[in-house]
Amino acid sequence: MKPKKLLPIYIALITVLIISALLSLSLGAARLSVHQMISGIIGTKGFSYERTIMLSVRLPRLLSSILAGIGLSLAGVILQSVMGNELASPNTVGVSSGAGLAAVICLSLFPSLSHLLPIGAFFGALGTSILIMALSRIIGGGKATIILAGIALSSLFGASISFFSVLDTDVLASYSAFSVGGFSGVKMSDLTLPAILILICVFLAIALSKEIAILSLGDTIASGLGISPNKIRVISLMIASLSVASVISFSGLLGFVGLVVPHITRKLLGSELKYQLTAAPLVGASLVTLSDLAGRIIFAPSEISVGIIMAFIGAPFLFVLLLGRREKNNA
Amino acid sequence: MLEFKNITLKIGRKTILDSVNLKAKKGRITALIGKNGSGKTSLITTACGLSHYDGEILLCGKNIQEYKNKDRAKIISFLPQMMPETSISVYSLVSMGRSPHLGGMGILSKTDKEAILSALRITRTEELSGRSISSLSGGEKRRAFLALLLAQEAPLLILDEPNAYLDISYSSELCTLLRELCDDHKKTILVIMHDISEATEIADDIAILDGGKTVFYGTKNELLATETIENIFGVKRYKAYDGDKTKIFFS
Repeated sequence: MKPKKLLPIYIALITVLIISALLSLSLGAARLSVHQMISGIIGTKGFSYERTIMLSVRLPRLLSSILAGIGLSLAGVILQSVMGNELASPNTVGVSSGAGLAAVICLSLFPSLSHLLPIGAFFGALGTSILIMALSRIIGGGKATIILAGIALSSLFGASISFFSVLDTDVLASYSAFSVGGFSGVKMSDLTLPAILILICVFLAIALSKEIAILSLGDTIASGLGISPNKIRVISLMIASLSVASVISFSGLLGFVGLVVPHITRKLLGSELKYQLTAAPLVGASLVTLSDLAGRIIFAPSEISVGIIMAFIGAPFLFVLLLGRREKNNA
Repeated sequence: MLEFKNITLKIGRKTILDSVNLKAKKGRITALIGKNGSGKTSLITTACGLSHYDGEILLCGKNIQEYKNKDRAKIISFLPQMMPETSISVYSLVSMGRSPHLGGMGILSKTDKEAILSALRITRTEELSGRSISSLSGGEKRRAFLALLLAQEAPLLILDEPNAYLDISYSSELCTLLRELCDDHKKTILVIMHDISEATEIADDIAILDGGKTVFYGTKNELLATETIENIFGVKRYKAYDGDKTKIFFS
């Protein structure tokens, strides 16, 4: 795609994100005007109604949804490129479940060390990524093997999470919300470390985009072009795992973002990885923000978790994707 | 230019290559032929650094393992048999060939762009440059990937069955292109070929692998002076006359 065509798309994506953010700050159980939103954020009154809503509820929630959208979309783009499979995502290859299991183990064994949750989730995600790659190499059988191995591992990790939850009633109480994914109760202080880590992941992924794009052509071509396939693969998986783990540490197991967003981005901007890596975070942030907003206003004042809304969007999208593939195969 | 010396490769308990020796001499086309499973692809992947082997591979007289990846990629380029599925444009694909020559920022210089255009021109893929790889026919796709290799500007090309799955006209066009690359652009080519007749037509030197061993290595004329091909592949030799030219076929 030529740069002349790219610019309007990027401007549109940024505009959609800004509008989504403003709507997210304004709408909910209580509706705030633009003036109330501004005075709530930068106002000097100590405990005004607007200020409490904005700083304690809406702003952390908006930042959570933006960060979750960025982190999971980025991981989705990386996993699909490195694994050479358009169906790969943090959920379908079991990376999210691996991170979730590690998080639950941390909660269960070290309840006082909750700040270690992102680190535990990172090792869970990374371990699962490496395990998936190793299994698909040992078993062979092509791209479907990765997804099948991911499904098997997800089931295993899901059962393990349930097992730990049953053993520890404190974990069981938080597991239900954790497994669906959502942002209620997230505080600004919970977001500092994940925000730093996710931004680092975005910069690293963009810096490595050329190498990841070459790796997507296969090990032989990559090696022939002077790239060490295993080294780039492991670094890429570490970036994706860190990104997923950072999101999971505050949002729980939020599904489908990493699967859906790379496809939307590909439709909008084509398959060039550098465009996908820069546009997918914008698309992901808007999608999660709007989904979270929908969850808050559809049955207000009751709330539907963003994870449930994403599943309602993501599952039909997957069916459309599979139907598209069938038509392509029949063509 | 490239020499395999006593290469032995084992996967588990199975011996894939057993003390294989062969050379790809500078400015010549060396065809590597053999039955399915004879170890042809395994041999060339040893030069990619993707498998552990016993023995020594010399690239320009120096052990290939002593080269840094990028330095090796400036001398030797690979085209695998299976073309990966991708939807990127032909131009983007070919520009990846400049990867070993780019600095840290990865920005294409004027020299890089000239090399890309030259590769597109030689492979006659200029008109396809804006198209997605996934929209190309088998023959066009092969030429696009060959352009990727040429953009790399490595003097040695290693190709694994570049004419696999191509119909006879595309296959013939590709063979002509390989000969041009060798004669006009001074490339050294090591190519795995499944069609023995085509191999004997375009190659200068031929190596035959059988059961992971080199059973023949020499010039085309040396090979055709014997009945090695007939004995190994169980085929018959036919001659066709086209004016004053004689073509040899195996069937």
